[in-house]
Order: sequence, then C-alpha cells, then structure tokens
Amino acid sequence: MEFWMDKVGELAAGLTGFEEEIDSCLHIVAISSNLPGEGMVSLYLNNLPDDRRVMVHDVGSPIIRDALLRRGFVLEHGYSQYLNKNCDNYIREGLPTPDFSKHFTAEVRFDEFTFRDLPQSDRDSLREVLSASPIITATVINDKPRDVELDEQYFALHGNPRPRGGLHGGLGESVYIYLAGAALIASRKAIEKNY
Amino acid sequence: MTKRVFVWLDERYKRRKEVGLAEITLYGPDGEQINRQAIVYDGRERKKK
Repeated sequence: MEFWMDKVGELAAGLTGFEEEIDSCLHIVAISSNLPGEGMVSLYLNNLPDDRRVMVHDVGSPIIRDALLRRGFVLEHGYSQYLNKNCDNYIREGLPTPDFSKHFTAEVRFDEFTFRDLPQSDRDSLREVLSASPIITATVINDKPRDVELDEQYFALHGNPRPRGGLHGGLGESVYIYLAGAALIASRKAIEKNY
Repeated sequence: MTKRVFVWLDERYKRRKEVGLAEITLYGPDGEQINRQAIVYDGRERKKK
C-alpha cells in the first residue's frame, strides 16, 4: 500500500496537504497553507462537503481546532489509520440527504368549462398516470378553476367580491354605462328630430 | 410525466368532443410550488399539431 505522505500535493489553490475519500468519509490528514494569513485554510474548510462524513486527523494547531469547532466538527480522541496512533481527530457527520422523491405533489386543475363532473374512474386513471412518475407521490385533482379559487381567497381576505378585469368589470363597466348613455342621448335626439 | 398526462387529456377531451385547458403544478416537500409556471395544456394548440 502506498504511504499517504507520498501522495501529498495541492489540496486547493494555495494549500498543500493530503485528503482521501474512503467509504463516504473524507479523510484530511495534512493541511499546510502556502500563503499563511491569506485565509486559504478557512476557504478550504468552508468548502468541505456537508453530505458526507469528514474527519480531520491529528489537529494540533489551536487556530485550526477553533475553526473546525466553529464549522460543526466535534473532537474525538481516537485511532488514526493514517498516522498509526491515537490522536485528536475532528469529525463532522454528513447531513442526511433529503429524500425528495417522497414528498412531491402534482396538482392538476382544469378550466371552468370541462371536467367539473370528472367520473371517479377517470380520476383514478389520471392519478395512475401521475403516480407512474418516480418523483410524484401524491396527486391532487383540483376541481376548482383558478379564477374561482382566487375569487374565494379574495372574498375571505377582503369580505367583498374580487374586482373583475377587462370588459366584464372594473373599467369595462364604465365603458358599458358610457355607451348606454350615448345611445340614450342619440335616440332622444332622433325622436326630437322626427317631431 | 407531462407527455403521459397530455396524452390522457387528449384522449378524454376527444371522448367528450371538447377542447379545453388544464394546468399541472408541482409542489415540493415544503408545499412550495416547484415549477415557476404551471405546465399548461391547451387543447387548441394540441389540435393544431
């Protein structure tokens, strides 16, 4: 087996040392900065992976010890297979990888005019189609069109109906009133002319 | 998934002799919407193809 000291090289820009990953554990056996005081070690420690176990072997420097403790490492006195002795190692366990595949929900919503009476058999078959996806675990078939849902949310929040846009509400209503007024005046004038 | 759902929608709309709109929204573990905009199924656009 090759001795680890023979594999010492550049860890990162401005850093020399040795690190090795074995069985999802990153072992850092030596770190030495080529530019002391430039923050290269801090930068390296900040970029250490948090999804796997990291073990820094035999940390003697009090500055590095503090830096490791600040970054969630825990002191464990134990055997180092690299240094072949019992020493102060700093260990940080990897964060569990969240299993997103268990929590994805797909919502299907139809427009106002169709599928308000979607039969149960069709609902089931749509659910089947969606659940065939490896990432979807829950399916919601929302019978309420978005507009209806927004109306309800607005009413619950403000206590009055949601203002309508376009020609069916808001400014549109005033356009209708203006046109009706103009038609009334025009028809009156036409009647007056005839007499 | 989208392709399969669209095929399902095509089939159902065809059976009902209707053209309609549908949207598919995906939510993550925290209930937040994942796709910034819902995937929109537009029956008219599908007919053109």
